[in-house]
Amino acid sequence: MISKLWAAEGRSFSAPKNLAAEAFLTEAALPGEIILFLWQNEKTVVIGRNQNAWKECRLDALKKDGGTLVRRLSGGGAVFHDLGNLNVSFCLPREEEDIPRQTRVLLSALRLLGVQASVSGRNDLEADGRKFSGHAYYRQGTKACHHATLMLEVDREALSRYLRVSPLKLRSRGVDSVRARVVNLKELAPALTVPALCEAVKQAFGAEYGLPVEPFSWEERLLGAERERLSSLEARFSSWDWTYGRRIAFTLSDQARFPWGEADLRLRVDSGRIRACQCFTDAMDPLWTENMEEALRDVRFAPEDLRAVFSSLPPAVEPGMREDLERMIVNLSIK
Amino acid sequence: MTFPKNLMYTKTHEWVLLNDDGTALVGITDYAQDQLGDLVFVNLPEPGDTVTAGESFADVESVKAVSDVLSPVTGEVAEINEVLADEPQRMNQEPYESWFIKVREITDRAELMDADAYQAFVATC
Repeated sequence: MISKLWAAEGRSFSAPKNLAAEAFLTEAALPGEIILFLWQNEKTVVIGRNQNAWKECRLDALKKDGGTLVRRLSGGGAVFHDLGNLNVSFCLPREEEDIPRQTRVLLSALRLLGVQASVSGRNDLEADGRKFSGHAYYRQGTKACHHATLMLEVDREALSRYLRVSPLKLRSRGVDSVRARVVNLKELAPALTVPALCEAVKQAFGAEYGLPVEPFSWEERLLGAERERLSSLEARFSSWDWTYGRRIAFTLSDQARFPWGEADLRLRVDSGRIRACQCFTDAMDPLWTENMEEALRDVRFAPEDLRAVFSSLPPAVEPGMREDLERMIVNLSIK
Repeated sequence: MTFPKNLMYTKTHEWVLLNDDGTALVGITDYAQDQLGDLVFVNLPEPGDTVTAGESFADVESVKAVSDVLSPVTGEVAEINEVLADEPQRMNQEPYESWFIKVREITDRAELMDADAYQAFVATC
Protein backbone atom coordinates (compact mmCIF):
# COMPACT_ATOMS: atom_id res chain seq x y z
CA MET A 1 0.00 0.00 0.00
CA ILE A 2 1.33 3.41 -0.95
CA SER A 3 1.11 5.74 2.02
CA LYS A 4 3.63 8.48 1.28
CA LEU A 5 4.45 10.53 -1.80
CA TRP A 6 7.55 12.66 -2.23
CA ALA A 7 8.66 14.96 -5.00
CA ALA A 8 12.40 15.52 -5.42
CA GLU A 9 13.91 18.01 -7.81
CA GLY A 10 17.24 17.70 -9.58
CA ARG A 11 20.06 19.75 -8.11
CA SER A 12 22.18 19.84 -11.23
CA PHE A 13 21.99 19.59 -15.04
CA SER A 14 24.83 17.08 -15.05
CA ALA A 15 23.75 13.68 -16.37
CA PRO A 16 26.10 11.53 -14.25
CA LYS A 17 24.99 13.42 -11.13
CA ASN A 18 21.33 13.02 -12.03
CA LEU A 19 21.61 9.32 -12.79
CA ALA A 20 23.38 8.90 -9.44
CA ALA A 21 20.65 10.86 -7.67
CA GLU A 22 17.98 8.71 -9.28
CA ALA A 23 19.75 5.48 -8.31
CA PHE A 24 20.16 6.86 -4.80
CA LEU A 25 16.45 7.73 -4.52
CA THR A 26 15.53 4.27 -5.80
CA GLU A 27 17.69 2.67 -3.11
CA ALA A 28 16.30 5.09 -0.52
CA ALA A 29 12.59 4.52 -1.19
CA LEU A 30 11.08 3.02 1.97
CA PRO A 31 8.16 0.56 2.08
CA GLY A 32 4.98 2.37 1.08
CA GLU A 33 6.83 5.34 -0.45
CA ILE A 34 7.09 6.65 -3.97
CA ILE A 35 9.72 9.27 -4.67
CA LEU A 36 8.97 11.23 -7.82
CA PHE A 37 12.16 12.72 -9.24
CA LEU A 38 12.03 15.59 -11.75
CA TRP A 39 15.30 16.38 -13.49
CA GLN A 40 16.96 17.77 -16.60
CA ASN A 41 20.28 17.17 -18.33
CA GLU A 42 22.34 19.52 -20.43
CA LYS A 43 23.27 18.29 -23.90
CA THR A 44 23.64 14.54 -23.30
CA VAL A 45 23.33 11.30 -25.21
CA VAL A 46 21.92 8.64 -22.88
CA ILE A 47 22.38 5.05 -24.01
CA GLY A 48 20.53 2.03 -22.63
CA ARG A 49 22.14 -0.31 -20.11
CA ASN A 50 23.13 -2.87 -22.72
CA GLN A 51 23.96 -0.74 -25.72
CA ASN A 52 27.19 -0.28 -27.59
CA ALA A 53 28.41 3.31 -27.11
CA TRP A 54 30.30 3.36 -30.42
CA LYS A 55 27.37 2.03 -32.36
CA GLU A 56 24.76 4.44 -30.99
CA CYS A 57 26.60 7.72 -30.70
CA ARG A 58 28.72 9.94 -32.92
CA LEU A 59 31.25 10.57 -30.20
CA ASP A 60 33.36 13.14 -32.04
CA ALA A 61 30.37 15.33 -32.94
CA LEU A 62 29.04 15.18 -29.38
CA LYS A 63 32.40 15.92 -27.74
CA LYS A 64 33.15 18.75 -30.14
CA ASP A 65 29.93 20.49 -29.05
CA GLY A 66 30.71 19.97 -25.37
CA GLY A 67 28.12 17.20 -24.91
CA THR A 68 28.26 14.22 -22.58
CA LEU A 69 27.64 10.52 -23.13
CA VAL A 70 26.22 8.47 -20.26
CA ARG A 71 24.90 4.96 -19.79
CA ARG A 72 21.72 4.59 -17.75
CA LEU A 73 20.64 1.64 -15.60
CA SER A 74 17.47 0.89 -17.52
CA GLY A 75 17.12 -0.94 -20.80
CA GLY A 76 16.11 0.26 -24.23
CA GLY A 77 17.64 2.59 -26.78
CA ALA A 78 19.64 5.78 -27.09
CA VAL A 79 18.02 9.17 -26.51
CA PHE A 80 19.19 12.76 -26.63
CA HIS A 81 18.53 15.16 -23.73
CA ASP A 82 18.90 18.90 -23.47
CA LEU A 83 17.16 21.52 -21.36
CA GLY A 84 14.14 21.24 -23.65
CA ASN A 85 13.49 17.84 -22.12
CA LEU A 86 12.10 16.99 -18.67
CA ASN A 87 12.79 13.62 -17.06
CA VAL A 88 10.39 12.07 -14.58
CA SER A 89 11.33 9.07 -12.43
CA PHE A 90 9.18 6.96 -10.14
CA CYS A 91 11.43 5.41 -7.47
CA LEU A 92 9.68 2.86 -5.30
CA PRO A 93 9.69 -0.62 -3.71
CA ARG A 94 9.41 -3.34 -6.32
CA GLU A 95 6.24 -4.81 -4.82
CA GLU A 96 4.51 -1.45 -5.29
CA GLU A 97 5.52 -1.11 -8.95
CA ASP A 98 2.46 -0.48 -11.13
CA ILE A 99 3.58 0.69 -14.55
CA PRO A 100 0.09 1.39 -15.99
CA ARG A 101 -0.73 3.50 -12.94
CA GLN A 102 2.57 5.40 -13.07
CA THR A 103 2.06 6.00 -16.78
CA ARG A 104 -1.45 7.29 -16.02
CA VAL A 105 0.11 10.02 -13.83
CA LEU A 106 1.86 11.43 -16.89
CA LEU A 107 -1.18 11.08 -19.14
CA SER A 108 -3.28 12.96 -16.55
CA ALA A 109 -0.65 15.67 -16.19
CA LEU A 110 -0.70 16.21 -19.95
CA ARG A 111 -4.48 16.31 -19.99
CA LEU A 112 -4.33 19.08 -17.36
CA LEU A 113 -2.22 21.01 -19.87
CA GLY A 114 -4.56 20.32 -22.76
CA VAL A 115 -2.55 17.57 -24.49
CA GLN A 116 -4.37 14.38 -25.43
CA ALA A 117 -1.80 11.58 -25.41
CA SER A 118 -1.89 7.80 -25.59
CA VAL A 119 0.36 4.84 -24.85
CA SER A 120 2.16 3.31 -27.83
CA GLY A 121 3.06 -0.32 -28.43
CA ARG A 122 6.45 0.05 -26.76
CA ASN A 123 4.93 1.75 -23.70
CA ASP A 124 5.99 5.18 -24.87
CA LEU A 125 3.65 8.17 -25.02
CA GLU A 126 2.55 9.67 -28.29
CA ALA A 127 0.18 12.25 -29.67
CA ASP A 128 -1.11 12.05 -33.24
CA GLY A 129 1.08 8.98 -33.74
CA ARG A 130 4.26 10.86 -32.88
CA LYS A 131 6.33 10.05 -29.79
CA PHE A 132 7.27 12.69 -27.23
CA SER A 133 7.99 10.48 -24.22
CA GLY A 134 10.21 7.37 -23.94
CA HIS A 135 9.87 5.02 -20.97
CA ALA A 136 12.34 2.54 -19.49
CA TYR A 137 12.69 0.54 -16.29
CA TYR A 138 15.10 -1.16 -13.94
CA ARG A 139 14.64 -3.38 -10.95
CA GLN A 140 17.33 -3.97 -8.39
CA GLY A 141 16.89 -6.05 -5.28
CA THR A 142 13.70 -4.91 -3.60
CA LYS A 143 13.46 -1.61 -5.50
CA ALA A 144 12.22 -0.49 -8.89
CA CYS A 145 12.57 2.60 -11.03
CA HIS A 146 10.45 3.71 -13.98
CA HIS A 147 11.61 6.78 -15.81
CA ALA A 148 10.30 8.78 -18.73
CA THR A 149 11.51 11.59 -20.93
CA LEU A 150 9.09 14.37 -21.86
CA MET A 151 10.20 16.32 -24.93
CA LEU A 152 9.08 19.94 -24.69
CA GLU A 153 11.42 21.64 -27.09
CA VAL A 154 14.37 19.37 -27.65
CA ASP A 155 16.80 20.45 -30.36
CA ARG A 156 15.82 17.82 -32.92
CA GLU A 157 18.60 18.74 -35.27
CA ALA A 158 21.15 18.06 -32.50
CA LEU A 159 19.40 14.77 -31.81
CA SER A 160 20.01 13.57 -35.33
CA ARG A 161 23.55 14.93 -35.28
CA TYR A 162 24.64 12.85 -32.27
CA LEU A 163 22.56 9.69 -32.56
CA ARG A 164 23.80 7.29 -35.15
CA VAL A 165 21.27 5.89 -37.56
CA SER A 166 23.15 3.33 -39.61
CA PRO A 167 26.44 2.38 -38.04
CA LEU A 168 29.12 1.59 -40.54
CA LYS A 169 31.52 -1.29 -40.42
CA LEU A 170 30.42 -2.42 -36.98
CA ARG A 171 28.89 -5.69 -35.81
CA SER A 172 27.92 -5.88 -32.19
CA ARG A 173 26.06 -7.73 -29.49
CA GLY A 174 23.79 -5.65 -27.33
CA VAL A 175 20.47 -3.92 -27.69
CA ASP A 176 19.58 -1.86 -30.76
CA SER A 177 17.67 1.41 -30.70
CA VAL A 178 14.21 1.58 -32.21
CA ARG A 179 13.62 4.76 -34.16
CA ALA A 180 10.30 6.57 -33.91
CA ARG A 181 8.78 9.71 -35.33
CA VAL A 182 9.03 12.29 -32.60
CA VAL A 183 7.24 15.52 -31.73
CA ASN A 184 7.97 18.28 -29.21
CA LEU A 185 5.11 19.03 -26.82
CA LYS A 186 5.50 22.74 -27.58
CA GLU A 187 4.30 22.01 -31.08
CA LEU A 188 1.07 20.70 -29.56
CA ALA A 189 0.74 23.21 -26.71
CA PRO A 190 2.82 26.32 -27.52
CA ALA A 191 2.44 27.93 -24.08
CA LEU A 192 3.89 24.93 -22.24
CA THR A 193 6.94 25.48 -19.98
CA VAL A 194 9.12 23.14 -17.91
CA PRO A 195 7.92 24.59 -14.55
CA ALA A 196 4.27 24.25 -15.62
CA LEU A 197 4.86 20.64 -16.65
CA CYS A 198 6.58 19.89 -13.31
CA GLU A 199 3.61 21.33 -11.43
CA ALA A 200 1.10 19.36 -13.50
CA VAL A 201 3.02 16.11 -12.95
CA LYS A 202 3.09 16.66 -9.19
CA GLN A 203 -0.59 17.50 -9.15
CA ALA A 204 -1.54 14.43 -11.19
CA PHE A 205 0.74 12.28 -9.01
CA GLY A 206 -1.11 13.31 -5.84
CA ALA A 207 -4.49 12.90 -7.49
CA GLU A 208 -3.72 9.40 -8.83
CA TYR A 209 -2.76 8.08 -5.37
CA GLY A 210 -5.12 10.32 -3.40
CA LEU A 211 -2.32 11.56 -1.14
CA PRO A 212 -0.50 14.82 -0.53
CA VAL A 213 2.85 15.23 -2.28
CA GLU A 214 5.56 16.43 0.04
CA PRO A 215 8.81 18.07 -1.07
CA PHE A 216 11.70 15.65 -0.65
CA SER A 217 14.42 17.09 1.51
CA TRP A 218 17.89 16.14 0.26
CA GLU A 219 19.42 17.61 3.42
CA GLU A 220 17.43 15.31 5.72
CA ARG A 221 18.09 12.16 3.69
CA LEU A 222 21.74 12.83 2.89
CA LEU A 223 23.52 12.11 6.12
CA GLY A 224 26.97 10.53 6.57
CA ALA A 225 26.79 7.14 4.86
CA GLU A 226 24.14 8.31 2.37
CA ARG A 227 26.34 11.16 1.26
CA GLU A 228 29.17 8.71 0.60
CA ARG A 229 26.82 6.39 -1.27
CA LEU A 230 25.73 9.23 -3.53
CA SER A 231 29.35 10.19 -4.24
CA SER A 232 30.26 6.63 -5.15
CA LEU A 233 27.25 6.44 -7.49
CA GLU A 234 28.34 9.70 -9.12
CA ALA A 235 31.83 8.27 -9.62
CA ARG A 236 30.35 5.18 -11.21
CA PHE A 237 28.16 7.05 -13.70
CA SER A 238 31.05 9.36 -14.70
CA SER A 239 33.53 6.51 -15.13
CA TRP A 240 34.90 5.34 -18.46
CA ASP A 241 34.45 1.73 -17.41
CA TRP A 242 30.71 2.09 -16.83
CA THR A 243 30.01 4.08 -19.98
CA TYR A 244 32.33 2.33 -22.42
CA GLY A 245 33.74 -0.71 -20.66
CA ARG A 246 30.67 -2.91 -20.38
CA ARG A 247 30.97 -6.48 -21.61
CA ILE A 248 29.46 -5.94 -25.04
CA ALA A 249 31.66 -7.49 -27.71
CA PHE A 250 31.87 -6.09 -31.22
CA THR A 251 33.99 -6.17 -34.34
CA LEU A 252 34.91 -3.35 -36.67
CA SER A 253 36.55 -3.38 -40.03
CA ASP A 254 37.79 -0.70 -42.37
CA GLN A 255 39.74 -0.50 -45.60
CA ALA A 256 41.68 2.44 -47.01
CA ARG A 257 44.16 3.25 -49.75
CA PHE A 258 47.17 5.40 -48.89
CA PRO A 259 50.17 6.68 -50.93
CA TRP A 260 52.25 3.85 -49.47
CA GLY A 261 49.68 1.11 -50.14
CA GLU A 262 46.41 -0.38 -48.98
CA ALA A 263 45.36 -1.26 -45.46
CA ASP A 264 42.63 -3.67 -44.37
CA LEU A 265 41.99 -3.40 -40.67
CA ARG A 266 39.94 -5.62 -38.38
CA LEU A 267 39.38 -5.02 -34.69
CA ARG A 268 37.64 -7.06 -32.02
CA VAL A 269 36.66 -5.02 -28.97
CA ASP A 270 35.19 -6.27 -25.69
CA SER A 271 34.72 -4.48 -22.37
CA GLY A 272 35.79 -1.35 -24.24
CA ARG A 273 39.25 -2.74 -24.95
CA ILE A 274 40.84 -4.00 -28.16
CA ARG A 275 41.14 -7.76 -27.79
CA ALA A 276 42.49 -8.45 -31.24
CA CYS A 277 43.78 -6.32 -34.09
CA GLN A 278 44.57 -7.60 -37.58
CA CYS A 279 46.03 -5.28 -40.13
CA PHE A 280 46.72 -6.50 -43.67
CA THR A 281 48.84 -4.18 -45.80
CA ASP A 282 50.93 -4.49 -48.90
CA ALA A 283 53.64 -2.42 -47.21
CA MET A 284 57.29 -3.52 -47.19
CA ASP A 285 57.61 -4.07 -43.49
CA PRO A 286 55.26 -6.76 -42.11
CA LEU A 287 57.07 -6.73 -38.78
CA TRP A 288 55.98 -3.17 -38.14
CA THR A 289 52.27 -3.97 -38.45
CA GLU A 290 52.74 -7.08 -36.31
CA ASN A 291 54.28 -4.85 -33.67
CA MET A 292 51.36 -2.49 -33.93
CA GLU A 293 48.82 -5.31 -33.59
CA GLU A 294 50.62 -6.51 -30.48
CA ALA A 295 50.88 -3.03 -28.97
CA LEU A 296 47.15 -2.38 -29.39
CA ARG A 297 46.03 -5.50 -27.53
CA ASP A 298 44.02 -4.73 -24.36
CA VAL A 299 44.29 -1.00 -24.97
CA ARG A 300 41.15 1.04 -24.27
CA PHE A 301 39.32 1.87 -27.48
CA ALA A 302 39.57 5.59 -26.77
CA PRO A 303 41.37 8.21 -28.88
CA GLU A 304 43.83 9.34 -26.20
CA ASP A 305 44.87 5.77 -25.33
CA LEU A 306 45.25 4.85 -29.01
CA ARG A 307 47.35 7.93 -29.73
CA ALA A 308 49.60 7.08 -26.80
CA VAL A 309 50.25 3.63 -28.29
CA PHE A 310 51.15 5.04 -31.69
CA SER A 311 53.48 7.63 -30.23
CA SER A 312 55.34 4.77 -28.53
CA LEU A 313 55.83 2.93 -31.86
CA PRO A 314 58.83 3.69 -34.07
CA PRO A 315 58.07 5.23 -37.50
CA ALA A 316 57.42 2.67 -40.23
CA VAL A 317 59.70 2.26 -43.26
CA GLU A 318 56.99 3.74 -45.51
CA PRO A 319 56.72 7.48 -44.90
CA GLY A 320 53.37 8.39 -43.35
CA MET A 321 52.25 4.82 -42.69
CA ARG A 322 52.31 5.08 -38.90
CA GLU A 323 50.39 8.36 -39.02
CA ASP A 324 47.84 7.06 -41.55
CA LEU A 325 47.11 3.92 -39.54
CA GLU A 326 46.88 5.95 -36.36
CA ARG A 327 44.32 8.26 -37.93
CA MET A 328 42.38 5.31 -39.32
CA ILE A 329 42.10 3.59 -35.93
CA VAL A 330 41.48 6.75 -33.92
CA ASN A 331 38.69 7.70 -36.34
CA LEU A 332 37.06 4.32 -35.87
CA SER A 333 36.94 5.00 -32.13
CA ILE A 334 35.13 8.34 -32.41
CA LYS A 335 33.30 8.61 -35.72
CA MET B 1 3.93 -23.39 -17.15
CA THR B 2 6.29 -26.15 -16.04
CA PHE B 3 8.05 -26.92 -12.75
CA PRO B 4 10.63 -29.71 -13.25
CA LYS B 5 10.89 -31.96 -10.21
CA ASN B 6 14.66 -32.29 -10.32
CA LEU B 7 15.23 -28.57 -9.67
CA MET B 8 15.07 -26.36 -6.60
CA TYR B 9 13.63 -22.83 -6.72
CA THR B 10 13.93 -19.42 -5.05
CA LYS B 11 11.24 -16.92 -4.15
CA THR B 12 12.84 -14.55 -6.66
CA HIS B 13 12.17 -17.07 -9.48
CA GLU B 14 15.57 -18.58 -10.15
CA TRP B 15 16.06 -22.34 -10.51
CA VAL B 16 19.09 -24.34 -9.40
CA LEU B 17 20.13 -27.85 -10.34
CA LEU B 18 22.31 -29.29 -7.59
CA ASN B 19 24.61 -31.87 -9.17
CA ASP B 20 26.08 -34.90 -7.37
CA ASP B 21 29.62 -33.63 -8.00
CA GLY B 22 28.99 -30.56 -5.83
CA THR B 23 28.46 -28.13 -8.72
CA ALA B 24 25.20 -26.37 -9.58
CA LEU B 25 23.56 -24.89 -12.67
CA VAL B 26 21.49 -21.72 -12.25
CA GLY B 27 18.85 -20.11 -14.46
CA ILE B 28 15.52 -18.28 -14.36
CA THR B 29 12.18 -20.07 -14.19
CA ASP B 30 9.41 -20.41 -16.74
CA TYR B 31 7.30 -18.06 -14.59
CA ALA B 32 10.13 -15.47 -14.55
CA GLN B 33 10.58 -15.49 -18.33
CA ASP B 34 6.82 -15.27 -18.81
CA GLN B 35 6.59 -12.26 -16.49
CA LEU B 36 9.57 -10.51 -18.06
CA GLY B 37 8.47 -10.90 -21.67
CA ASP B 38 10.81 -11.13 -24.65
CA LEU B 39 14.39 -11.16 -23.42
CA VAL B 40 16.92 -9.34 -25.59
CA PHE B 41 20.11 -9.34 -23.54
CA VAL B 42 21.82 -11.05 -20.63
CA ASN B 43 24.82 -9.75 -18.77
CA LEU B 44 26.73 -12.65 -17.19
CA PRO B 45 29.66 -12.71 -14.75
CA GLU B 46 33.00 -14.19 -15.76
CA PRO B 47 34.46 -17.57 -14.84
CA GLY B 48 36.37 -17.20 -11.59
CA ASP B 49 33.99 -14.56 -10.20
CA THR B 50 32.38 -15.21 -6.83
CA VAL B 51 28.60 -15.31 -6.51
CA THR B 52 26.75 -14.92 -3.22
CA ALA B 53 23.43 -16.50 -2.24
CA GLY B 54 20.66 -13.90 -2.40
CA GLU B 55 22.77 -11.34 -4.24
CA SER B 56 22.70 -10.23 -7.87
CA PHE B 57 25.07 -12.06 -10.23
CA ALA B 58 23.57 -11.22 -13.63
CA ASP B 59 20.94 -9.03 -15.23
CA VAL B 60 18.52 -9.54 -18.07
CA GLU B 61 16.84 -7.03 -20.36
CA SER B 62 13.32 -7.48 -21.66
CA VAL B 63 11.43 -4.72 -23.47
CA LYS B 64 13.28 -1.66 -22.08
CA ALA B 65 13.35 -3.18 -18.57
CA VAL B 66 16.48 -4.43 -16.84
CA SER B 67 16.05 -6.83 -13.92
CA ASP B 68 18.76 -8.33 -11.78
CA VAL B 69 19.03 -12.07 -11.23
CA LEU B 70 19.93 -13.35 -7.76
CA SER B 71 22.15 -16.30 -7.07
CA PRO B 72 20.60 -19.24 -5.19
CA VAL B 73 24.06 -20.33 -3.97
CA THR B 74 27.39 -18.96 -2.82
CA GLY B 75 30.39 -20.21 -4.76
CA GLU B 76 32.71 -19.66 -7.68
CA VAL B 77 31.63 -19.35 -11.31
CA ALA B 78 33.08 -22.36 -13.14
CA GLU B 79 31.43 -21.76 -16.52
CA ILE B 80 29.07 -19.34 -18.20
CA ASN B 81 26.59 -20.18 -20.93
CA GLU B 82 27.89 -18.12 -23.85
CA VAL B 83 25.04 -19.32 -26.06
CA LEU B 84 22.68 -16.96 -24.21
CA ALA B 85 24.79 -13.95 -25.21
CA ASP B 86 24.15 -14.68 -28.88
CA GLU B 87 20.64 -16.11 -28.54
CA PRO B 88 18.92 -14.44 -25.58
CA GLN B 89 15.51 -15.61 -26.86
CA ARG B 90 16.44 -19.10 -25.65
CA MET B 91 15.72 -17.96 -22.10
CA ASN B 92 12.09 -17.55 -23.19
CA GLN B 93 11.91 -20.65 -25.35
CA GLU B 94 13.59 -23.15 -23.04
CA PRO B 95 14.09 -21.60 -19.61
CA TYR B 96 15.20 -24.83 -17.94
CA GLU B 97 17.80 -25.62 -20.62
CA SER B 98 19.08 -22.05 -20.52
CA TRP B 99 21.44 -22.20 -17.58
CA PHE B 100 23.27 -18.93 -16.92
CA ILE B 101 26.23 -20.18 -14.91
CA LYS B 102 27.74 -23.32 -13.46
CA VAL B 103 28.90 -22.80 -9.87
CA ARG B 104 31.50 -24.82 -7.94
CA GLU B 105 32.97 -24.68 -4.44
CA ILE B 106 29.49 -24.07 -3.05
CA THR B 107 29.55 -22.95 0.58
CA ASP B 108 26.03 -21.60 1.12
CA ARG B 109 22.50 -21.65 -0.26
CA ALA B 110 19.57 -19.27 -0.22
CA GLU B 111 16.23 -20.54 1.04
CA LEU B 112 15.15 -23.04 -1.63
CA MET B 113 11.82 -24.68 -2.45
CA ASP B 114 11.11 -27.95 -4.21
CA ALA B 115 8.93 -27.99 -7.33
CA ASP B 116 5.63 -28.48 -5.48
CA ALA B 117 6.34 -25.71 -3.00
CA TYR B 118 7.44 -23.36 -5.79
CA GLN B 119 4.34 -24.10 -7.85
CA ALA B 120 2.18 -23.30 -4.82
CA PHE B 121 4.22 -20.12 -4.27
CA VAL B 122 3.77 -18.98 -7.89
CA ALA B 123 0.01 -19.43 -7.50
CA THR B 124 0.10 -16.67 -4.84
CA CYS B 125 2.18 -14.22 -6.95
